[in-house]
Amino acid sequence: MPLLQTIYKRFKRKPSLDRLPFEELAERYKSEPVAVFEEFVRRMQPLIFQAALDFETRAHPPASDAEVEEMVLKVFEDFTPEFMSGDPSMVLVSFAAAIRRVLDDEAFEAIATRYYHQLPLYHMKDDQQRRFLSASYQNGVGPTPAEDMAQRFQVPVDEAQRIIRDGNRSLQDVIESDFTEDELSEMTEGRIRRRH
Amino acid sequence: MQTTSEEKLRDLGFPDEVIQETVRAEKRGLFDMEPSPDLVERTVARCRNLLRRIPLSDETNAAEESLSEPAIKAFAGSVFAVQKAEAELFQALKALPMATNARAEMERLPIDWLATATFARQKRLRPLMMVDNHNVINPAWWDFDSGLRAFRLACRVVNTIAQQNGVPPAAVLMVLRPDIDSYTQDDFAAIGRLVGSATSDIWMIPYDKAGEYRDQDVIVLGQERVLRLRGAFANPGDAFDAFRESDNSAIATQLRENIGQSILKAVELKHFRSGIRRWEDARTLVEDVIRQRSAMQSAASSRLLESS
Repeated sequence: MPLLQTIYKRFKRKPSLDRLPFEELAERYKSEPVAVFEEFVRRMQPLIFQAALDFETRAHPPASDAEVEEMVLKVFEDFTPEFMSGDPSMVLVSFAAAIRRVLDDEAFEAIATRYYHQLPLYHMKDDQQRRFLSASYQNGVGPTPAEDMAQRFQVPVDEAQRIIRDGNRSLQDVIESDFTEDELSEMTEGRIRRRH
Repeated sequence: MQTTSEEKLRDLGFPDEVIQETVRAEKRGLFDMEPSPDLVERTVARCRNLLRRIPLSDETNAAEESLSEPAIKAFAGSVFAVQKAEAELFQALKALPMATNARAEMERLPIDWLATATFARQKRLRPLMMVDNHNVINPAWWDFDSGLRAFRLACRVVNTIAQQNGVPPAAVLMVLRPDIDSYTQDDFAAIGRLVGSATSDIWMIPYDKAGEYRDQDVIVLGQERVLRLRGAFANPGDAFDAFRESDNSAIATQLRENIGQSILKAVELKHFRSGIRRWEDARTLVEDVIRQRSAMQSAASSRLLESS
């Protein structure tokens, strides 16, 4: 094995943060708190931005970029002291409570399903499918996810479509096989259910 | 009636409830505005002081953090002795009076890395020369990534051995980014810590003076081993995997000369070491080098210089 990778792997022995399921971030938080927090922010922020935009559009129309971003910052600021303090499997439920506290129930409802789909998503085994779907869900899926991912990952649109289709099938398999019905219900406030 | 978006999303296999929520979000205009590119960084900067600190116990990082200078010097001296005596390195290590966790960390260093110290001692040359390019590896990664910290630890050991033998330590040429605003506060904090605690000799060079090293990281280990890295990476793991390694003494020798030539155009940092106490100090220094102002021309930098 090449020297540098020998050094790296002997010390590292850890997967990249961007591959870790939410439930496993807590263990890494002990040694890399800022990096884990940054990864959490990176995963959640675009959706929280949508929730904040929904809130500001209703509360203080017309919403401005600065006001929406300030609300996003307040959501994370509210949650940070309790980040990684409880049951690691309940991190999204805890964060959802912070979103409702700072914004409101309606704002969270605007993103809830897409928000909770991120939980099983990081259990997907196929790196490429997981990267495409995680990036897509982080953006809130959007009306043109295949075109968006094609541009982001520099692949043809039909290739992005194939990867997303396969990824969605794999994600459903993960939902069916990696969690019990009770676990899913508890960890996603009943937003995601097994079909079988 | 289905909208175009619904049809597209269904064709891609998204679940019905996700499709419905996405379509509602689109109708409410939630895709009409996007967060600023730096919002993640601003969020982390605003919240990082609120993060809970969890004491480390048996983590690898804890062992690494606990390594003291005397422990490293003891280790370095012992390695040298072992090499001279041609004895088995690991057996000698086991006899060292070091804390268990420190010894365990030291034993992880591959012997061929330590061999760069032998090269330095025999050839009276720096054990390694490195181009640390901020356009390739984010400075902040050095603070948290265990692989990069392992690399730094290896440098400290080799530098200690070199210095004990009257040989100059590793040379590090930092290639800066063209735009000061592309650095984060974490980057400056990491640069400050690196400059303040380095056992290597460090130089900074502005992007437009870096020539062939503008877009690559280069490490020349000993006489023949060369590691190169080009590109932009999302995380340190991907960067490490992308290093290209070769054994070629002619290339290594040429690179040593070339890096040495570039160093002549760069700003040496050893006089700034004790003057950099805050991240803002590191920012001042980086900004002056980017703008190619000498410490004599810049009141800010000269303050850092004088305080050393």
